[in-house]
Amino acid sequence: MSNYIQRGLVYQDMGNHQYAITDFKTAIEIQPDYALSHFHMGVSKLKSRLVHEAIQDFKASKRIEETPAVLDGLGCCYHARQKFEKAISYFDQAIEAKPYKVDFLKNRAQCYFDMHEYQKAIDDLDTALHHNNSDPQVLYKQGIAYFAFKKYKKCIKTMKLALQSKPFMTYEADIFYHLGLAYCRLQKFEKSIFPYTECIRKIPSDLRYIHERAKAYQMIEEHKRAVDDFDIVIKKNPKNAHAYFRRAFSLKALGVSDSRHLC
Amino acid sequence: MEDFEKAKTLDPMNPALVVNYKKLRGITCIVLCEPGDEKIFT
Repeated sequence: MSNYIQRGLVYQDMGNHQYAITDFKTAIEIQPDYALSHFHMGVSKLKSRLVHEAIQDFKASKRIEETPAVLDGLGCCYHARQKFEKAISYFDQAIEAKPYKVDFLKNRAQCYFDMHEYQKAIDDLDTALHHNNSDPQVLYKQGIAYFAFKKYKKCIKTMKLALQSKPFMTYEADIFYHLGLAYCRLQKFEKSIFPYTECIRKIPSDLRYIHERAKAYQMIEEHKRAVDDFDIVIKKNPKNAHAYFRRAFSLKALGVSDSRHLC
Repeated sequence: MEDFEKAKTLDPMNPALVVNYKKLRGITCIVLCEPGDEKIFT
């Protein structure tokens, strides 16, 4: 049985949940009263978005042995189903049992964030940071919460700390993007150019980044550069009415009446 | 003017995109939304 669980966990780690589920299912058939098999099955089902089935697996695990991880798993399931109050109640129980488990705090913070309870999300992430004050993902999530809470200076400070903590590539561009946005919301358009340029460098295909930089260039009256960025946005998304509208102002400032005359 | 007209054509129900050309003199831009709140055009 343990071999199936071990192999299932390797598949789970690789993100191959279909194979993982098959292994955990076999482990459960061999020994139905082993709580961890049900727990791991729940995790893979949740990651496969089989949320209803995942709830059944976590509950089966809980019936055999109630652990903080199972309670957290149930919290994640109800969060995925947008049953926020129920999710919070499970997260509360998990955190009460293991107050400094960073993953539980991150999960509850995400749930509070989706409930627009930004201060509670920030508080949970603060607690997580007491445990490890340079966890880049926790800092990133807290920066996002500060942004949503319109605390732009704190967002900037936190995002800068996240960048110093060597964040993963998966969210590094978003850190730069939110830095740029926070500067712009504070009307510091000039300061937004560098972070926007960095996120564009990391993910050149994301038009949101290019469009926001174009807007910032326009605000600091760098109209030629603004037009260059608006051109890219329009070329890749010819239905973007806002980009046309804004480009018109930069062309007007440059004294060009028709975009085709620029080239 | 061409871009203003194009914007209006693409999003005809958006009153913010309707401009009076005679009153545009001295106006460098019109803020359509907050940074990061861009509408998705598909």
